[in-house]
Amino acid sequence: MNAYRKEIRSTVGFGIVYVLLGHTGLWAVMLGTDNSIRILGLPIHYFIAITLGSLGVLLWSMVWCRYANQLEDEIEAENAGSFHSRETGLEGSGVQGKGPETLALTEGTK
Amino acid sequence: MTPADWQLQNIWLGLGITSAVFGLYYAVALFSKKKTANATDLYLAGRSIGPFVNSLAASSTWMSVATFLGVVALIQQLHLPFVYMWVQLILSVPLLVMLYGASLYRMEVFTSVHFVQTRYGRSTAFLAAGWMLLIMLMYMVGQFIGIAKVFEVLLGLPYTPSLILSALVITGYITIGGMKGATYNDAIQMVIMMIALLVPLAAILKAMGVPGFWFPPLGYGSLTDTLLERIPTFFDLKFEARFYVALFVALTIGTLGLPQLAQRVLTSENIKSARRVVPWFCLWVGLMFLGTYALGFAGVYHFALIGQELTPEAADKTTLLLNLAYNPDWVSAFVIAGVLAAGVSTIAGLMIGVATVVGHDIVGVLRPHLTEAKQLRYGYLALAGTGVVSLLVSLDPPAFLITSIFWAFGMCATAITPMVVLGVWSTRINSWGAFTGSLVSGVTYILLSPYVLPDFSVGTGLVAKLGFATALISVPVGFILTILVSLAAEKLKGEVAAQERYTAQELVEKMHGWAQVTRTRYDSSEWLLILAALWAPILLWGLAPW
Repeated sequence: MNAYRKEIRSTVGFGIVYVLLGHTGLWAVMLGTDNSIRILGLPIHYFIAITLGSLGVLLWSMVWCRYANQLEDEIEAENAGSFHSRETGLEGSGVQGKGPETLALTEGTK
Repeated sequence: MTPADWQLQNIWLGLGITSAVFGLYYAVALFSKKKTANATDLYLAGRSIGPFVNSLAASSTWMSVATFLGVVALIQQLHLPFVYMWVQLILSVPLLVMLYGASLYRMEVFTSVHFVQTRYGRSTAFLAAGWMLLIMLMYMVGQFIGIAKVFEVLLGLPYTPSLILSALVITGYITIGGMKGATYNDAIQMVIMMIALLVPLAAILKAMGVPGFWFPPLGYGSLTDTLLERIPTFFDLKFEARFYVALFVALTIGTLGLPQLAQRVLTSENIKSARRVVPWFCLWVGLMFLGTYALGFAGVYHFALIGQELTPEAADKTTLLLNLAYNPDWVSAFVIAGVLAAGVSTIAGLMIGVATVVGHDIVGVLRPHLTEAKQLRYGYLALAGTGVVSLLVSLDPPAFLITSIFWAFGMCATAITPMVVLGVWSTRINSWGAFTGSLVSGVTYILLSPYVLPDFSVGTGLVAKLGFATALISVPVGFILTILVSLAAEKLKGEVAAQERYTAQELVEKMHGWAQVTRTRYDSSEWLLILAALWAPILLWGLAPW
């Protein structure tokens, strides 16, 4: 899968999971609530809401951050690849290829 | 219950703690001023902030006076549903960075308005600036009023002198330090907040006889049975499913568009660093939120146990009342320092946000060829002016400005988020769609609220006051109009629209990091139509009577 497709699919996927983690109220509406089942003394639906909405989001953010920064490298690699193939393809053709000035916009990704 | 119940008996403690924390903030601001040489330094801290400090600063900007005072009071009043309302606020920065923060960073813009100007042109930028200034002003007035009330408690001064004193002191240090000073101060303030919330809370829980007091965020389960005996409905959901969907539509989508949070991300030293802010932010905010729920729980438990009904004014002071009941005065004074830190850091983010929109974006459009020195001078003027204007508005605020901040989030979800997020992810969104979608949905949101034309208000009670009922109509309208008008304009405007799409293709691909423009990425209209179709049932649901 190329980096563009990965970017689209991962953004949708990560976004949906984020929303599910932060909106457990809807889960509770659908699944019902039972105050007699407890975790650490707290009703299970309340415990799930506050832990997924904090620790769950934290863990998911760690996964996302790692994935997104790796994807950044893949985009860079595709950029470098297409730049290289353009340079090779244009060699001797007399047509000036787009070089570093085109890449200037990505220099922020140190 | 009277104000004497929540005021510090020893006024010197109050004066001492206020002088100490503001002395520290001014020292940091003065130190940072030496490093402010141009507009990028003033508004974006020279894009030099690492993820650890930036995450603390972003968390601090996000934590407001409400974290200490309002939330606890609202847990008292609304019980579990308010926890669900608050939990999802942690998604703001993760979704913001994922959906558009990194792209805006790559464009080297200063604010979301700057992005809108680059992407859609001047008219839409002025519209976006208008909405953002309204949202930030609503937010800021609430914070100024909250801080003035804290000064009342600390110093025993009447409200108006408290407001003037606090506003001048805050405006002074933010104007001196700019974004660099505000960032380092915000980071310090976040540390103060965490200590001021969690440590005294542990002492309160210990005094209540809770075995898990050593970990306040999750250690208060032993209070559950007693609480349920006194308030059997505490853990009830109370609202229908539509209420919980509205939390996503109005709050999650609203907070991810907040300009002052977006600006925080833009101060990062690089894109990867901006992404690393997210997990750190979730750690700090998650801890604070868990602590806040514990404090709210302890407050409800305490007053249920002694059988005391709190007035709304007293409920707002639950944090202080609990500390005064269980902890020595000096601990309560430190908690008040935490409340001050929460309010001041939010004001700092908002003031710089407003000043950047006015001093950089609007002035930059009107006078594009200013020298670096003049840009900086306008920046300082905008910062000081923002503080003074907010003070004047806060002295006698119009009723619509002191509606709940939740209402402002719905405004952001309606008028800002669609044009920004769609503009980053689709080359097919154009200035006609963005302008029409934002204007029509924004005006709809205002007109259907209970604050302007009460007879036309959608919903009643809490869902109307907080903007949830209205957002369930206006946000779908915003997305659907932005998409459909953009696609219609392509057909109707011919060559002009084609030229705009051509420019957008270059801009959008490059802001996602692609060096070579293919004109095929982010260029499909199919997913836009699917998205519009997905919003349609939400809109119909929103139109049904509450």
